This record gives sequence, C-alpha cells and structure tokens, in this order.
Amino acid sequence: MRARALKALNIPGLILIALLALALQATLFFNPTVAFFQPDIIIFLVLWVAMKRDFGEGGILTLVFGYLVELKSAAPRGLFLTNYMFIFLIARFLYKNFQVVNRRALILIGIVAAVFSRLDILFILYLVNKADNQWFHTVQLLAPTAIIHGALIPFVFRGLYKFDFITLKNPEAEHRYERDFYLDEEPV
Amino acid sequence: MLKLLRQYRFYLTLLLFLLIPILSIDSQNRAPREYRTYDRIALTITNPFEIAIHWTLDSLVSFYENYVSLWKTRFENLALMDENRKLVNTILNLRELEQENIRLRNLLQFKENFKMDAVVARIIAKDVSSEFRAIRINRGKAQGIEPNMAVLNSEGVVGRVLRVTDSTADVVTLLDPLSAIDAYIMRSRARGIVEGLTDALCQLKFALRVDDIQPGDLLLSSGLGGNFPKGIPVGAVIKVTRKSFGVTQKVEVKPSVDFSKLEEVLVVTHVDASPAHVELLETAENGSPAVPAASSATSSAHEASRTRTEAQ
Repeated sequence: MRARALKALNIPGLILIALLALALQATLFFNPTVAFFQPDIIIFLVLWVAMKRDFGEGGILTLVFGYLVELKSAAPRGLFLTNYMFIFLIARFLYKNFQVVNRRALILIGIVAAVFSRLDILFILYLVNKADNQWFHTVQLLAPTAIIHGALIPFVFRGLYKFDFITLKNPEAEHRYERDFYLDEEPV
Repeated sequence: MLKLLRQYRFYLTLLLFLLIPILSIDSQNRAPREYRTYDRIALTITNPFEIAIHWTLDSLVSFYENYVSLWKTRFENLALMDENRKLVNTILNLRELEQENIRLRNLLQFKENFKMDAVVARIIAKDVSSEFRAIRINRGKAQGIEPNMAVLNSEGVVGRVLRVTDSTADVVTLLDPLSAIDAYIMRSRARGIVEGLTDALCQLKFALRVDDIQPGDLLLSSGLGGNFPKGIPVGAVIKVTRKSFGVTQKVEVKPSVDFSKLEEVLVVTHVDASPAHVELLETAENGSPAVPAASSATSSAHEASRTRTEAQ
C-alpha cells in the first residue's frame, strides 16, 4: 500500500518539480547578465523521462511539461510543446540505440539537447515567420546555454535519480523495498 | 480493430505525440490571446503551488538579500562611523582654528593699538619645575627675539624673555618669583614693582604706605626701562594690607592674563614711545568699554570698583 502510494506520488512529484523549476527560472534570473546563464530545467526533465520512463508515460509527461511552460511563457502557442517533444523523441531514440555509459556522455547529451533546443526554437519561429529578431539572440545564447546545461545535467540527474528512488519508480529501489518488506514478514 | 490498434500502438502514439504539438502551434503570434478553458483549469490547479513556491523562493531571496544588505549595512555603518569621527575631528580642528583666529585677531588688534612691533609666538612648553613659572615659546633669535623683551597677550603683560635660542625663547611670567615689572595704579598713579607670588597671584612691592591703593584698582605697566610699552594692563588689586607701621604696604594683585589658558603671545621687539591706548584704558575705567582686549582682571577691577562706589 505504501509502495503504491509512493509510486503514485511520482508523476505529481515530477510535475511539482517542473513547477518549482519554472518558479526558480522566473524568480532568480531577473538580471540580464545572469539570465544568459539561465538553465532550462524542463529540458533535463524531458531528457529524464525520455530515458527512464516508458514511451507513453514519458511522452505524456513531456506534453504536460511543455504545456506548463507555455502557460507561464509569452512564447507562441505550441512552440515549447513541439520543441520538447522533438527533444523527447530524439533523446529516446538515442538512448534506446546508444548506451549512456559515463558522465561525459551525459554531459554531452545535456549540451547537445540545449543547443538543439535553441536551434529548434529558432527553426519553429522561422516556420511561423518570427525568426527575424531572434537569430542573433539565439547565437548569443548558444555558448552559455551549452555550458550551463552541460554543467548542471549530472547534478539534476542525480537529484531525479534520488527522487525516483524515494518514490520507488526506480526498479532497484522497488526490489530493495520488496526484499525489506518480505524480511519484515519473515517469522523469527 | 483493437488488435490492429495494439499492433500499431507505438506508431499511433508517436503520431499523436507529433501531431498534438505541431497542430497546437499558433502562427498568429501577435493576435490577442485568451486562456482557453483547459488553460484556466490548469492554471487553477497549478497556481496555488506556484504561488507557494514563489512565496518560499521570494522569502528566501529577500531573506538572503536582507542578510547581505545587513552585512553591507554593518560595513557602511563602520565606514560612516569612521567618517563621522574624522568629521568630528575636523570640526574640532576648525573650532580650534576659529578660537586661535579670534585670539590672534585680538593680539593683532592689541599690537596695532599699542603701536609696537611684535612677533607672534606659540607656547610650546612650560617650566619643568613647579617652583618656577616660566614658559617656552616657539620663536627665538632667528625671529629677532632677544632677552628682556616684553611678552604680552591681548589681556595684558605675560612676562619677559629670559633667554633665547635660535628657534625658542624662555619667558619668565609675571607669576614667577624672578619677575619684576614696574607698574602703576591707573587711578592714583601710585607706583611699585610687580613680582610673582603664587601660581595665580602677584604682589606689588615698594608701594608706599601712604599711596592710595584700593582693591579693584588697575595696574598698568609704566614703560620704564623701555622694554614694556606704557599702559599695558598688568593686573588688578585684590587685597591691600597696611600695617600700623613701616614704609610700604602689602598689595596683592591678580594678573590680567589668565595663565591657565595662555596659548599665543606677542613678543615686543620695538616699542612706540607715545601710545594712545592709555587714554582708552582710562576711559574704560570711567565706565566706557573701550579697552581693546577683554581682560578678566579688568572686568574684576570694574566689579570691585562698582562695589566700592556702592559701599560709599
């Protein structure tokens, strides 16, 4: 029962984390110089669900994350939904076909995802005829974005791993929980 | 149909995942936007969380900022206190300079009134012995100061130069037992020699017993010997003792100069023979405040004189 409750908390917990991330992004980066290094934490969440959730759950969560971002942003509708969905699909494809063996690969994923996200946003804006004023800004943001995402992804993933472990979403945690449960039940 | 759906579930889901975002792209970027019903529902659900998160973050940020600003305030406070201390020092210095300016102006006025050449000097030391009441000034032979020159300030006679070096001079004050200045009572013209008695008093010696000397009488320098200009206030009589026998009377004099507050003096290097100030002083004795410099002895003499008149 407790395990089920903990598991049930995982998805609302992730949504709450997304809200917290959005609040952080909306609060701490007012300074234009600091804003240059503002990470898009939702990208990390999308990458996480692309790697650690099944296709359906991950995709729906990605749509929810994109929707939440659009609720809080003045960006054209559908922009973040599309952007995050592309990232989700590409990350999932890569994760299923290539192994993320070490931290360096993870950092590379963070950097590539961030750069791809910027370019993708520019591309979508171009499609809706809004890229004229945006490309220079995107070029300016590419390097800081890549650096900050590459630097943060190991820490964010470690936190998410712990979160999954606590909410028993992690298979290893689930096994350990069940083992402990049966040990408790075992007669002396 | 269900079987078909199950078979192609992945591709259908993928198609959905691609279609939903792409179809939701709004190309009317600048058109006014309204929240849709489900947007409102989502906002209603998420807003309390967001508000709580914002509140917590804002509180943390403001707490941190307040803490930092308090930290800064402490340093600012220290800097301001330091600055304040410096400013207070500056103000005190300025007040000191103002006082010095007043004193020097009085000295200058005094010098002009008495038509004499004088060197302004500052007191730099006092006698090391408590038995003698000499002072050292910061002007010496290099400034034209020689032994026996008169030393005055705006209140009256200070003393005479005892010895000089190139840059300093020792001055025997009126209070010193070695001092001797010829003086006369302004009212009765009775003469005598003023010598030091205590740290605060002098005595008029060799005043004849028959001379008319009353407490409150003003003593002025006689100018004999040529060192002191004539008519410089020396002090005021405060006590007269006449015995039933003898040639002289004992007269105690309070110096016109307040030696406890002495800071600058004038060393008289040349004296004009006919000072006009004596008339002024005599006028002052008759009630008109025409004395060039304020003198405590002069004022006490005025008070004593008034008391005497009232008693009569």
